[in-house]
Amino acid sequence: MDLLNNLYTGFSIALTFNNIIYCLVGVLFGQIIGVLPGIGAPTAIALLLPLTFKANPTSALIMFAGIYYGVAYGGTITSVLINVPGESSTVMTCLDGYQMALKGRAGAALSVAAIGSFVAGTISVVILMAFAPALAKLALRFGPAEYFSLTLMAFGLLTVFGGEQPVKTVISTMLGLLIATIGLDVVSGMPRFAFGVPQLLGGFDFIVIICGMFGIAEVFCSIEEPEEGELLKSKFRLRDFFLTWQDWIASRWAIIRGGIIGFLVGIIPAGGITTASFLAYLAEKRASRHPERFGQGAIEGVAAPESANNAASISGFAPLLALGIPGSPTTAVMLAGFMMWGIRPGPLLFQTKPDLVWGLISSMYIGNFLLLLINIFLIPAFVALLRLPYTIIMGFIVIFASVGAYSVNNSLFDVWMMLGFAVLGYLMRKLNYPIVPLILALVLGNLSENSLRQTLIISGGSLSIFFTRPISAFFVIAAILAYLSPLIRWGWKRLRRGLVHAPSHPESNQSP
Amino acid sequence: MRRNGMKWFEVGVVMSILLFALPIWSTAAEWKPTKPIEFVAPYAPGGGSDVLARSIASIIEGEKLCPQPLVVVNRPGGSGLIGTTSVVQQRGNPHVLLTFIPGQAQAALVAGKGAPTFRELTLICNLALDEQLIVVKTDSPFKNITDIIAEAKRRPGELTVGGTGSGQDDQICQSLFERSAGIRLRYVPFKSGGECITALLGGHVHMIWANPPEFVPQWEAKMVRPLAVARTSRMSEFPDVPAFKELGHHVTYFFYRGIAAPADIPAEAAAFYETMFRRMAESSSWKEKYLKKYMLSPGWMGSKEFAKIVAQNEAESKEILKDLGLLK
Repeated sequence: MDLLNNLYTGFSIALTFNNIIYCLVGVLFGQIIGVLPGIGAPTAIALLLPLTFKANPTSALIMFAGIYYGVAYGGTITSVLINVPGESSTVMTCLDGYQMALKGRAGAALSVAAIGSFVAGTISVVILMAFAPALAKLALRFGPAEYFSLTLMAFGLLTVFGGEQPVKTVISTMLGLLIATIGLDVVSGMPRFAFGVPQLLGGFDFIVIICGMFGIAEVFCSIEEPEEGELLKSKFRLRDFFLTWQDWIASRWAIIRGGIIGFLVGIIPAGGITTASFLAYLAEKRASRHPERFGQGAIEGVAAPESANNAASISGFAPLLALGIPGSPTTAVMLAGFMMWGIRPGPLLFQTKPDLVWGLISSMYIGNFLLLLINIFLIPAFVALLRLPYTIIMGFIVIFASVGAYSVNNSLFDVWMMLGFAVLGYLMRKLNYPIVPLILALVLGNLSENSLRQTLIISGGSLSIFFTRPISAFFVIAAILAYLSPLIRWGWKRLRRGLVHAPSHPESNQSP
Repeated sequence: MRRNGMKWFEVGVVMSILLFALPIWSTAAEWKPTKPIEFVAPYAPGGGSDVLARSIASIIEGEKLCPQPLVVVNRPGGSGLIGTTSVVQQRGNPHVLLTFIPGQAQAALVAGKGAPTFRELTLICNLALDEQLIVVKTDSPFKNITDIIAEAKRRPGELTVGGTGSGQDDQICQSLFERSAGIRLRYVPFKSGGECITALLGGHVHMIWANPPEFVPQWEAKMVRPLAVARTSRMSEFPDVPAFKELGHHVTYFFYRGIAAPADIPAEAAAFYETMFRRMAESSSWKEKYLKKYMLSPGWMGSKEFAKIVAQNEAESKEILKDLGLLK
C-alpha cells in the first residue's frame, strides 16, 4: 500500500518532538491571531517568514499550516461571544452563534464549532492524502466561466431569505454589490466611486465592514434595549458547556454536509474559505426542515459554516502542493516561503520532497487534535467572560471592532468607515432588512463581476460559453432552479391545495 | 522643592548633550536613521514587492548595513496606490521607504486625479530588473513566436492572452508585441500572477505574460514552456528561450524594482540610503538570496539614472495607454 507507506513516512516526521512543538506553536498562534480581527493568517505568516530562514522548511511549514487552520478556530470565539468575527471566514458563525450565546448556550456553540471543525478537518486530511493530485487537476477545470456560474448559484441560494420579504433581500444584495464595486476595477484599471479620495481606491476591506455591521451595530441595538443584556447574566452550569443529545442529532449531518461543501469549495483556487462557510450555511438552511430557526440560535447554523471553513482551509493545500498554485492569500505567502527556502512547490514536489509533503499532511491530524483539546479545555474560561456585566462587554466589542478595523491597513480612516457601516447595519436591523445577502454580495461581488467580464472577453461576447462547458452548465441550471424555487413552491402548494382541499378552506396551509 | 531641583537637573543634562552634539551636527555630512524605518510594500504578502521588501530587510540586517531595522509593512490595494499614497503623505519624513515598480506609476496614470505619482516621491535607486516572458502550455500547438503570429494573422483578435491587471506591465508588453508583429490578440486581465498561471494550466487562455517565479515550478514539471523574453538578450536561466530582439521584434521592457522615499527628505538621508542599497546590491548574499533565487537580473541604478528610467517608462506607458483607450 503506497498510501500506508506515505502515511508512515509522514507520521515519522510529524511526530518528532521538534515538529510537535512547531505544530503546537502554530496552532496556538493561529488561535490568537484568529481572535484578533484585522490581523489575518497571511500577515502573521509573512511576519514570521524571515525568522524561519534557517529553520527546517518542513518544520516551518508545519507551523504555518497550523496558523492557517488554527485561525478559523480562534475567529469563532469572538463571533460567538461578542458578535465580532475575528476572521472573515467566521462571519456566518455570528448569526446563530451569538444568538446561542444570548440564550446562555455559548458553551454549546463553541463546543459544536470545535468538534465540527475537528471532524470535518480530519476527514479532509484523509481525502487530501488520498487524492491531492487528482483533486488539483479537477480544480484546474474552473475557469472564469465556472466561477461566474458558481457565484450565480450562490446568489440563487439567497432565495432562502426571500420567503418573507423578497424585495428587501434583493435590495440588500444590490447594496452589497454596489459597495463591492468601490475602488480600482481590475478589468479596466479605472477607479469607481472613489471621488478622488486615495483611501477609497482599494475599496473597503471586508473586515472593516463586518466589524461595523455586526459588532458595533449590535452595541447600538443593545443601548436601545437594555433588558436584552440581562440574558447574559443567566447562570452557567457545567453541563451547559456540553452538547445535549438533541444537539448531536441536529448537528451531525450539518457537520458532514458543511465539511463536504467546504472541502469542494476549498480546492478551487479563488474559492476561498469565507465563500465555503457562506455556501455551507445557506445550503444548511435550505436543507433544513425548519429554516425559520436559523438566525435564532440554531446549532446547525454554527456547525455547518465552522466545519466548512476548516475543511476548506485544509483542501486549499491541494493546488498548492500538487501544482504550485496559490489558491488564497495565505497559500500565496507560503509559496513565497517555499521560494525563500529554495524549494519549488509544484507537480514534482511529491517525488522530490516526499518527507515534506507527507510530514506536512500528517501534521494536520496532530494540529487538528491539538486544537480540539485546546478549545474544549478553554471553552469554560471563554464563556466565563460573559459573566461580566453587559455594559463592560459592550466596551470590549467597541475596542475589538475598532482595533480590528484599524489594524487592517493601520489607518484611522477605516475606523470612521467602520462606524459608518455600523449605522448602516443598525438601520437595516431596525427596518428588518436581512444582512446576510449584503455580506454575501460583498464576498462574491468582485469574483462574480470579474469572472463574468473575463468570460465575455474570452468568448468574444457570446453567452453560450456558460452552457457548453459542463461544470458551468450544471451551476447555471442549479442557479435557475434556485431562483425559480419560490415560484415552484408556490405553484406546487396551490396545485395541491386545489386537488386536496375544497376551495372553501383557503387558510389550511400545507405545513412545510 | 525637590521637583524643581530635578527639573533643573534635567534641563542641565539636555543642555550639555546639546552643547556636545551641536558641533557634530554642524559638521556632519553623514546622516543616520535614528529610529526603525517603516518599509512599505504596497502589495499583498507573497507578491513580488513583498518578497523584495522582506529579502532586503533580512539581507541589510545580516550584512549590518543600517544602524536601525527596516520594518516591512504591507499596504495592499488599488494596484499599489494605497501604499504609495501613504508614503507620499509623509512628505519630509526620512524614516519611511517604499518599493517602487512600473505598475504603481501606470496605475496612477489611469486613476488620474488624486493618485500619487512618482514626482511626489524621492527616487532612491533601482535594485533589479524583473523579466517578462510569454508562456504557453506544454501541449500548446504554438512552438514559437512565429507560430503565434501566423495563427493571429489567420484569426485576428481571437487568441487570448492572460495577464495581471489592466493597463499595466503585462498589457503594455502585449501592446508592444502586437504593434511590432502587426497582429491583434485578446487581452484577459486577472487579479494576480497566481490566477494567470491557473487559467493557463486549465486551458482557459492560450498564453500568458509572466515573471519567472510565477511559472518556474510548472516549467520544471514540464507543464508549461516560455516562448520568448521581452528583452534584448537571452536570460542565462533559459538559454533556449529567444529574446524578442533577436526575433526582430521591438518588445523590450524595463520592469524595474526600485526604492523610493517621501519627497523633501534631507539630501544627506537620500545619500545615506543610496549608499546603503549600493552596498547591499554588491553583497554576495543579495545575489544568492534574492537575484538567483527569484531569477531577476541585476540592474543597479543610482538615483539620477533611476529617475530617468522611471520617467521614460511612464512616457512610453502613457502613449500605449492612450492607444488602448485607457487614457484620454
